Amino acid sequence: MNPFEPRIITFLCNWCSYVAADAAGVSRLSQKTNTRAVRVFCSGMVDPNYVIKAFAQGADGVLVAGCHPGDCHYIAGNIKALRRSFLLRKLLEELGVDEKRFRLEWIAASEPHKYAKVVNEMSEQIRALGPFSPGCVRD
Amino acid sequence: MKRVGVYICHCGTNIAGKVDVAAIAEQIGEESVEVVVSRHYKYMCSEPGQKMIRDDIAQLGLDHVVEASCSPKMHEPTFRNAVSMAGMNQYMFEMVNIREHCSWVSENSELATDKAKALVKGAIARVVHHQPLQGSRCGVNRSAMVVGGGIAGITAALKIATAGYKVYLVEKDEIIGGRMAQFDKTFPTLDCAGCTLTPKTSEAGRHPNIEILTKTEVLDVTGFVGNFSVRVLQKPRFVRTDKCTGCGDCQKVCPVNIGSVFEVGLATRHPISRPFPQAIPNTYSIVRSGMPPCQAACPAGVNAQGYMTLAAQGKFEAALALVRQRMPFASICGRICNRLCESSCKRGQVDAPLAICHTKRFLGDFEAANNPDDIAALKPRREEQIAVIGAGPGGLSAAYYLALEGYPVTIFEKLPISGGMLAVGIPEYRLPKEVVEREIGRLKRLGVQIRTGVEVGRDITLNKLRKEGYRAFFLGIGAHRGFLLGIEGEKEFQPVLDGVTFLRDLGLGNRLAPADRVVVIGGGNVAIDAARSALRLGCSKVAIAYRRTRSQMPAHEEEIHHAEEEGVQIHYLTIPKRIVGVNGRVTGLECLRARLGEPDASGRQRPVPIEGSEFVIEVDAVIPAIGQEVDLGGLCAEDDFEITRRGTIVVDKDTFQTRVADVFAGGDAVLGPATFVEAVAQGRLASLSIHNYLQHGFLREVKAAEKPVEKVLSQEELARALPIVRQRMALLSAQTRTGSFDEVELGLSAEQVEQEGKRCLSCGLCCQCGECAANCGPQAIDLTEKDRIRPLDVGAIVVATGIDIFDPAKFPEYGYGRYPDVITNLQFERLCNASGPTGGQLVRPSDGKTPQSVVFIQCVGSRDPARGAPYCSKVCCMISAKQLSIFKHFNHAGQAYVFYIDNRTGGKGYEEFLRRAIEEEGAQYIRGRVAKVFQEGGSLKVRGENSLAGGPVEIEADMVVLATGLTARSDYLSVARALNLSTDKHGFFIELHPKLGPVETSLAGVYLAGAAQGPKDIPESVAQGGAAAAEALALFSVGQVEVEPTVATVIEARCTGCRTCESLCAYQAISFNEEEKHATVNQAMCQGCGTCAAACPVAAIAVSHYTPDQIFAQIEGILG
Repeated sequence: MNPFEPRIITFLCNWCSYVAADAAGVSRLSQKTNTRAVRVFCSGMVDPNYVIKAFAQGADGVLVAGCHPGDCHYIAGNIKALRRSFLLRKLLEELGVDEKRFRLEWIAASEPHKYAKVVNEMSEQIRALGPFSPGCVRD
Repeated sequence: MKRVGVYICHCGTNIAGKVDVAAIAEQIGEESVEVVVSRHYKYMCSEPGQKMIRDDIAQLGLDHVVEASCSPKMHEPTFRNAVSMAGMNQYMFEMVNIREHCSWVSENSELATDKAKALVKGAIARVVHHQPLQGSRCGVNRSAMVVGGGIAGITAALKIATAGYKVYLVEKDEIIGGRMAQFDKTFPTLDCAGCTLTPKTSEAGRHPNIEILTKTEVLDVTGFVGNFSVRVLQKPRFVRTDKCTGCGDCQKVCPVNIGSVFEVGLATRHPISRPFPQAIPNTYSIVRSGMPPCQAACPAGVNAQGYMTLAAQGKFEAALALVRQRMPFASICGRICNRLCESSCKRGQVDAPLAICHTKRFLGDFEAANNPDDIAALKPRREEQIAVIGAGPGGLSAAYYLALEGYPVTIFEKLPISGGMLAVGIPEYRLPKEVVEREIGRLKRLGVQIRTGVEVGRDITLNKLRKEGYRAFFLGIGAHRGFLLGIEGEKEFQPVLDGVTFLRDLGLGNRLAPADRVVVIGGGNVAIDAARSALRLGCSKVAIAYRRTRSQMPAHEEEIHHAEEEGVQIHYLTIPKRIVGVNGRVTGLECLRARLGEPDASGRQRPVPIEGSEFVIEVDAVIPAIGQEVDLGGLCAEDDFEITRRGTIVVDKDTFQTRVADVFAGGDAVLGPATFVEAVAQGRLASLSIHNYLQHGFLREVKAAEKPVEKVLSQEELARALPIVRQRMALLSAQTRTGSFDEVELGLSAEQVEQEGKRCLSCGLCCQCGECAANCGPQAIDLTEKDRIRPLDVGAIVVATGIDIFDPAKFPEYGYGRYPDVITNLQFERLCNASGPTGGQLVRPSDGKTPQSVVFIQCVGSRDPARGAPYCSKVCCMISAKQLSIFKHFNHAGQAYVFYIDNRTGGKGYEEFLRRAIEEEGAQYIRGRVAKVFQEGGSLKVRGENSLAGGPVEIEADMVVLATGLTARSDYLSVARALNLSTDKHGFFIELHPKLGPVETSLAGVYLAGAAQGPKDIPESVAQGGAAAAEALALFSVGQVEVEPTVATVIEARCTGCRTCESLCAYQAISFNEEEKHATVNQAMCQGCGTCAAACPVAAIAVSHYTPDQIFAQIEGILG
């Protein structure tokens, strides 16, 4: 049987984190193959429902990545994402999702190394946690 | 059923080398019912690849297309265009990134293929939910902003302007020209930098389409390509460019000297100056770093830096005039002020603060001694009579400034003498009567009438005064009613009198001691004054009881010290419990010891009584000095003032107007017991309001105060600290002074004051002394100019903010800053420049001698990941070759040495130039690093290695030039934030594509030029400036931009009207339709960020092309 390969949905903001992911590619920064990117305009666009949906569909982890506070292309969408994340974490906990499976990161366009590091770290962390079984999370 | 076509690109081997593209294409075709065709091809972006898609759309009737290849940031427009050509709406297309996000970063082929397939499946699931969308077209504002006035920015500005479009050239410094203006010659032709630059700067200066905004920085940018709204902050030049003739008379009288940034610290300049004769704009300007801390701390805003600077020059009259702009009573203030200026003086961080207060006292006393009859110039007399109630500091101040304005002012004073607390609160040994009388005398000479012994509210009323013709009133009645303790025995035994009453009786001439032994209760200045006065009245024993510790005492430290010196015994941590006595006479004060407990509301530790610690201080009189309050008397009988619970009068905090329109108030009557300087400040501000009230019917507009300078001492300020100690004032000896009420402090001498002034660090740079303005023929100088925020609407933005150079202090082994003859290459440029500090003589900074041997050290900060930057700064090799050639032309007999790592001479004519430097100028190039520069026997030695010959070398040098590399501007982050630019880890701005988009950024309509994008030489910067201009001009030429349709839309039927979205929108694009009770999006203002959609509790708002069903489908597809 194949070893467990986690599947992580990453919501990448178009202006910072997506660019960082591209730059990581251009620089050939080796990454685990566990992430699956969904491009969004802004981390503030990520409806908490998207995160819950991902877990409900069997994702083992979710990463939301946006610009650093103060650098948001849309002034402060990332701050709104941050504000939402507190309640979302509680909600995920209620739904039986280990808090380590959800991550919110600020990754600037100039931080491809950080992007690759987050991807690799998170892949390993979730590999260690094992597969997520949706349990009570049903859409 | 949807008909989807899927295309997987090999990208040569870039993708296919890792991802099994054929397998994916095959499996997708089998697994997905919507997929009609699934192909893979070597280069989908090639014409045959695009044609394949177009043909399939036409022949197979596809209605959606998925293409998996590189990042959509690369080729999304290519494929969108391809599907449009085949008649498909471009939004029916979805692109998958399997190169940057997959093949390039994955190690395992099988896993990479799985990942790529999942991504493709996500796209297929998503694309079937896509809707055709139509972007709108929007006009372009055909004007540009160029940020940065260096050669790159000037080039861009000139090209855009010459094409016929308006350009705002925004420059942070006072002149344009940038780094090139500092250079002497340019490589490889040894052209004079100035001779090639100044025609360009002049052209920019006179071009009708270019508006140069100097001392200006970009605050923020909103909007989008073709339609940017910019806000810039214009700092004042203080000299009007339309009036200044450039004569230079101003700088001859400027008393301040500061290091010149333009001359890289090799020369000083005056805050008012012009960096070089051909500067554009060719007018003077003033540098001011902000409000100096002394002035910012002063409640009255007295310009201490200004008068200290004038005093240093012996210009005592001008200095006093400056004091009086905010403080009419220099001699009084100089004796009793609480000196917030001195506590914040940055010289205090070096040794001791300037003796600002003592200097002010000197200025007032100097005039009294030398020019006693001088009075200020008055404005023409006005008609409106004004009554001031109370002849204390607040009232006198208001009267002074109103009298200067030309008003007839009458002061009504309850007591038989004027001065308020100055006369009846502060004892004479601190503030002699004749000083108070002299300052009030000046007021009388201005025409101010003072009627003493008249209590308004009892002897006369405000209404009566109104009838007599008084048009406005200022209440400065102070706080003259002292508190008692409220403890046992206070009423029973005599004498117990509050400190305020005791000092008032004394001030009115009662010189009888209250008893032989006295205890004063309290820790403020009144307590100390009462105690020291009691000593002078002949009391044999004077004690103070204070419930906290010495460090918590509100009285001035010096006063406490003087009291102790004179023999006042201070009992700390002592709480009065009751007054004891016999036959109605006080015999003692019973107290409790206290310890410090928890902090109270003021943050000070609360004294807690210790039970059973009672003890008695044996005394014959008790003077509580624990506070005082306002005594309104009969003032409120007719007018309905608002009074606080503390009994103070409520006024508007900016205008000092009371609830009664024609009555203003200030000082202790408003503040409760406060300081002299606060009362004077409020009196002056109220006078401005009264003037506006009478003349314009409206009150003073509130103006933003100038921003104070940083509180932390900077290196530049420290460098301006002359080695002079704080001047000490002579004092009467403690033994002799208690015998009388003679003044204790004896004042500074003129010489001491001049010395004291020279200690000033000129924190604000320009001290606003006004000497230049007074000497300016065309009256071009306006020191009251303020920062101004100006909106600019432009269609394109060129960012050309340039570079800084590495800080060589990070390399202590080279001795920069320690040895004056170790300089940077930028300093070398100034040393050879004809308008530089030496007038173009290449001489050593230390002794002005022509150097015989010059050593150049390469790669200072460049190619040094540990201490500098890993990159090559690109220009330093050529700069050193140029500079050694210049040196050889100055001194043919001289010898140049260069320690280098590699010589990098990529550029037209560069290698040939280097060969000439070696072969014709005889420069010795030594390959190797320098270990150390040190001084030995009066000359510099450079010790390094010769890595080619193998072994150490040591060279004697008259001058060492550090080839310092280029860095991003120190303020790159604020520029990046203001303009929404991305930066690399070194702070250089990121271009759209390193090869094919070198001047574009990820923001359409924002372009880069020059070294702000990375180290560059002049021709490259000029070329980029031109390229950036071409981008802007292409935009202007088309005149329209496509506005993406990816904006938010409200599903009105679903909206519940909760208005959550409205406040979240950063662009105010959402409003609420009150009639129909739902949200509405202004699509022209919406930027499509989707924050509203994520927050809508009922999913009634969504961004087109990023709708929940599309994202949900993509997630399902990826994980399916």
